[in-house]
Formats: sequence, C-alpha cells, structure tokens
Amino acid sequence: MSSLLNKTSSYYIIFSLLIFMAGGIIFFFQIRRILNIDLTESLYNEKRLIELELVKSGSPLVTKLVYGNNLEIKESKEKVVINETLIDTVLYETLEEETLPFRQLRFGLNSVKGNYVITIRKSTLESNDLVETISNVLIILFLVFIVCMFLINRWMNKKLWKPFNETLQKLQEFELSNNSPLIFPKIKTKEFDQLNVSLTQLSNKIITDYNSIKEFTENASHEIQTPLAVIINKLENLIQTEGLNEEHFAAIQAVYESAIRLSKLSSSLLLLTKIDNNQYIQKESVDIRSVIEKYLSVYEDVINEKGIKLALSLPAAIKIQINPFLAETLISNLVGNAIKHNIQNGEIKISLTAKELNIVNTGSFNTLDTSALFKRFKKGNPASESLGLGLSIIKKIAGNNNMIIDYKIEENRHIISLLF
Amino acid sequence: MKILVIEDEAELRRSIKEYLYNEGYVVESANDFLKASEKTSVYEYDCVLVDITLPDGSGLDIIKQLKKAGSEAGVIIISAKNSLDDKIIGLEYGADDYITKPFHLSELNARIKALLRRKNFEGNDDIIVNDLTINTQSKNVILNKEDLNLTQKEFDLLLFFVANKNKVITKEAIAERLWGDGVDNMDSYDFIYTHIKNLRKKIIDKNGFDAIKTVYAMGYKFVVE
Repeated sequence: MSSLLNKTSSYYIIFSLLIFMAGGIIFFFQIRRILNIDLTESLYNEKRLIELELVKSGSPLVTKLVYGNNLEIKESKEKVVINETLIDTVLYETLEEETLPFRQLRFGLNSVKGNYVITIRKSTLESNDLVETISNVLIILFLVFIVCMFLINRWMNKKLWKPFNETLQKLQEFELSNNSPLIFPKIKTKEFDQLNVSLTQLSNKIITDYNSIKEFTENASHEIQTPLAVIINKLENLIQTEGLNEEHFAAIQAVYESAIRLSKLSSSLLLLTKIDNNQYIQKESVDIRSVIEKYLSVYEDVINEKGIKLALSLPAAIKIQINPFLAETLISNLVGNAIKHNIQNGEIKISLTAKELNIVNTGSFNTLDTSALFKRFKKGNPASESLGLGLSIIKKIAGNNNMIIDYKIEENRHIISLLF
Repeated sequence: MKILVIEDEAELRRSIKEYLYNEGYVVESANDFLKASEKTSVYEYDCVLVDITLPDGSGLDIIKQLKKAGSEAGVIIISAKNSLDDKIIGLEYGADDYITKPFHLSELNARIKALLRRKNFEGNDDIIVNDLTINTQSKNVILNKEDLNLTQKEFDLLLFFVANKNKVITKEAIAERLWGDGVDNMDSYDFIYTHIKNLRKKIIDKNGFDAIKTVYAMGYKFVVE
C-alpha cells in the first residue's frame, strides 16, 4: 500500500510525462514544418532576386557573390527549357569535408542577354540544428518544470493533508476503555473540520453506548444472583424437612446443582466482561511460583483423591507484572483444568521458567479440536459438568497481559504453555 | 441471641429468618433502610446482617449509624457484588464479615456463630457437643479424655458440622467452606468424602458417638444426641 502522497505524486508524474511527450512531439513536427516552409520560401525569394538582378544588371553573376556556394549558374547558348525542380539532396561540402543535406531549386532563366540554368541550394542543416536546439531546451525546461511541480505538489499535499493525518493518528490511538472521546483542534479546511466534528460525536456516542452495555452486563450479572440466592436458600431450608425420601432429595439436588451452576456461569461471564472492559488494569509484581504453590495446596485433596502424580519444576520466585486477581484466576484455572480433565492415577508436570509456564497432563479425551477449545462454552467433553468458560477466561487473561497461550496434544498428553 | 436481618428481597429474608430461627435465635427483620434505621436505633442486637443495596439507601450507612451509636453488634454484609473493593470498603465501615449472594445458609450460620463467639467469649471457648469438647482456640478436640488429633481440614469440617448441627449440609456448602472458590469448578466432590470418612473413623475409633450421617444425594448431617 502506498500513501496518498506517493500515489498523487506518481499519478502526477505519469500524466505530466504523457502530456509533455505528446506536446513535445506535436511541437517538434510543427517547428520542423514551419522551418521547412521558411526554407522553401527563401529559395523562391532568392529566385525572384536573381530574376530582378538579371533585369537590372543584365547578369545574374553579381548575385553569385552574394550567395556563394549556394548559387550555381550555368550559361547556355540555347534557350533553356527545363522544368523548375525543388528537391532535397546531399552534397559533399569541401569546406566541412563531409556530405551535408541541402534543398535545391533548379530553374531556367532566359533573357536577351543570355540563357542560364540556375541552381540555388540552401543547407537544411541549420534548420535541423535549430530544431534540435529547440528540442533540447524544451526537454530541459520540461524536466525542470516536472521536478519543480513535483516538489510543489508534494509540499502542498503534505500541508493540505496534515490535519487529516493528525486525525488518523488520533483515531488509531483511540482506546474505548479510556473513556475519553476524540477531541481535535479547530481546523481551517472545511471538510476535515467536518470530519473531526463527526468523529468527536461518533466517539462520544460509542463511549456512551459502551458504558451502558458494560453497566447493563454488570447489573444483569448481579441481579441474577439474588433470585438464585432465593432458590438455593429455599432448597437449603426445604431439605431440613422431616420425611423426605430419596426421590425428593434427588430432585432437589438437581435443582440445587443447576442453580449453583447458573450462579457460577453468571460470575464467569461477568469476569470475562470485566476483563474485556479492562477493569483489572492495576498491575503489580506477582510471584507466579507462589500462586502455583497456593493452588496446588488448594487442590491437594482433589489431586490425592484422583491419585495424580505431580512432577514440579518450580525454580526461585518468578515475578511478572499482572493484576493479582487475574494472576490467581489464571493459575487456578490452568491448574484446575489439568486436574479436572485428568484421568485416575494420571500425571501432571508443571515447569516454570522466567519466560514460560508449561503444564503437561494426561487427559481423559485425546482427540480435541484445539483451535475451537478457547471459544466460550466449548467443552472438550460435552457430557462434562464444567461451564466451558475456563479456557476462554485463561485466553482472555493471557491476551490482556500480552502472554501467548498455546494448547496441543502430543502422545496422549495435553500440553498448555504460556509465554510471558 | 438477637439477630436483625436487613434485606429487601422478601423470599431471601424469609429463608434466612427460617434457618436462623430454627437455630434458636431471636430473629427480626427489616426490608428497607428506614425500618432498619429505626430498629437499630431503638433495639440492641447481637448481630446485624445487612444488604448493601436497599431501595431507599445504602446498607453501609446503617453500619455507620451503628458504629456512631457505639453498638457492639457484630455486622455481616450481604452483597450481590463479589468485588474486592466493596469488601474492603465494607470492612472499613466497620463490618466484621462479608458474604456474597448467593450463599449457603449453613455458611452464613457458621459465620454468625464464629462472629458471636469472637464477640462474646473473646475467642476463648469450649464447644461441647455430644461427647466432644472442641476448643476453638487451641483447635483441640477431646473425646473420652483423649485428643482426637484432627488435621486442619478435619477440624474445620467438624466445626462447620457443629455450627449446623441437626441440619442437612450440602456437599457444595462443605466444599466452599473448606476449600473456598478454588475447587468450585471441580466436577466431583469425592475429595470431601475422604475427609468425612477420616473424621468419622477417628471418632468411632475412640468409641465416640457416630454423629455424621449421609443424606442421600444432598450431603451430610451432624446429629446431636
């Protein structure tokens, strides 16, 4: 892609070249034609002078002196009867020692004093020289003109488009979550000023809409928790009732579990929204190693229950700049996933370096479309009770902190790596 | 013990009242800021549960009033927002605890008990239930004059059971109580069972009363003789 400036410049050069070439060619031929006519005319003029001279002095020889080599006079005893001829020819010029182009007019002249065959020649070299000189001057002029116009055009374009480029830069720097609308200085160019005014209005509208959606999502998430709390607590009172049988308990448990799941789902969606909205931008130096150790101890019982073998390679503290809450969420999800989707008596290998965190684990399913896995509500195992939001949260947090996340399955091992 | 429940959602208020009433507390309630403000200024409570967002005011202002009047009541905030900032603000206002909706009634009850214990006995109290004597300070449990030697998790589990004695406690509530939010995305609660099994075994081995009963599909119940 080339810039507007380069584009206009190259168009400008191409078109001016074409116009100048066409003009130059026309000009060249026109000059040549005029010079040609002029040359022929001067030959006939000379013929008239010679005729006059002959009448005046009785001899054309006087004229010969005037016109030098260009005039050839042959006397003839008899009356000359030849057609007047005008031709272009080349003759050897002794003075210049080369053959040169000439135009010659030959005619007969008969009078009482004598009969002559007269040949007048004029070198066409001069007119050729003239055309050449004119052409050269023209080309130089054209080049100078092109360069000048090119520079002027560039300068002018730069100056004219400067406010536009400034607008463009501000647009590129525009960040929705900063909550600051686009503000531009007043510009003298009407169109650009209108553009800027429109952009300011647009950005204001976007920010307002964005904030109301953000607020709506948050409020909706919070509002959903109260009725869920009613459901959960009603059930918790209901199960205290005497005389409930297994059938009752099974039904209550199903409702209870679903309500809790719904509540967690809502919290997870809220979390994703909040990360999207950059509400966790306050970063601190967080020791990832200690966060991993914390969650390994939180999950200790689950790990033992599943008989999972742990292989840890955790060096000294690894500090990275991240929001502490997001760091905890990230690690708890990563470690939690490795445990949750593991098999009985499986393995988990966690290795941490200053540059990356690698978690390798055995898994209950080994054919996965890894590219779709980070999408919301995508579950590795459709029958799973999980919400399918864990990996989207991981991905969101990673993306938010400029970390690169990669997920693959190799030799029945799930490998998730996080590059800081 | 007198408890005031300030909550605008009627059914939630009723559920909390019902659970706490069965625990033997005197429970009163208020559904808006005005009534709550009146009640707290007239009566003395041992514990006040307050929802932050009330239709006609902020629950935080109730806490402010309580503290200004020199009330000794323990204060637990009930909030729909699970945000650290709100938690910090609430505690700065002088609240003792913060619980997020939705919560388990058994959890709320355990927190009220712990709060009242801290307030009334300065955290130095033996709980006697069945044949067990539980010291919350030293975390020792004595059965038939012998120390039960419980792990931290088993002790917490026992304390949670005792706080909600004769009540069905769901496995979800137990998991959240003992492991926090960390394990709430685990598919199975089998790991809870291991700890309950171990706790029961320790009690039975010392010829104690086997108080922990399994409730089909739901969870467990600690029965008091």
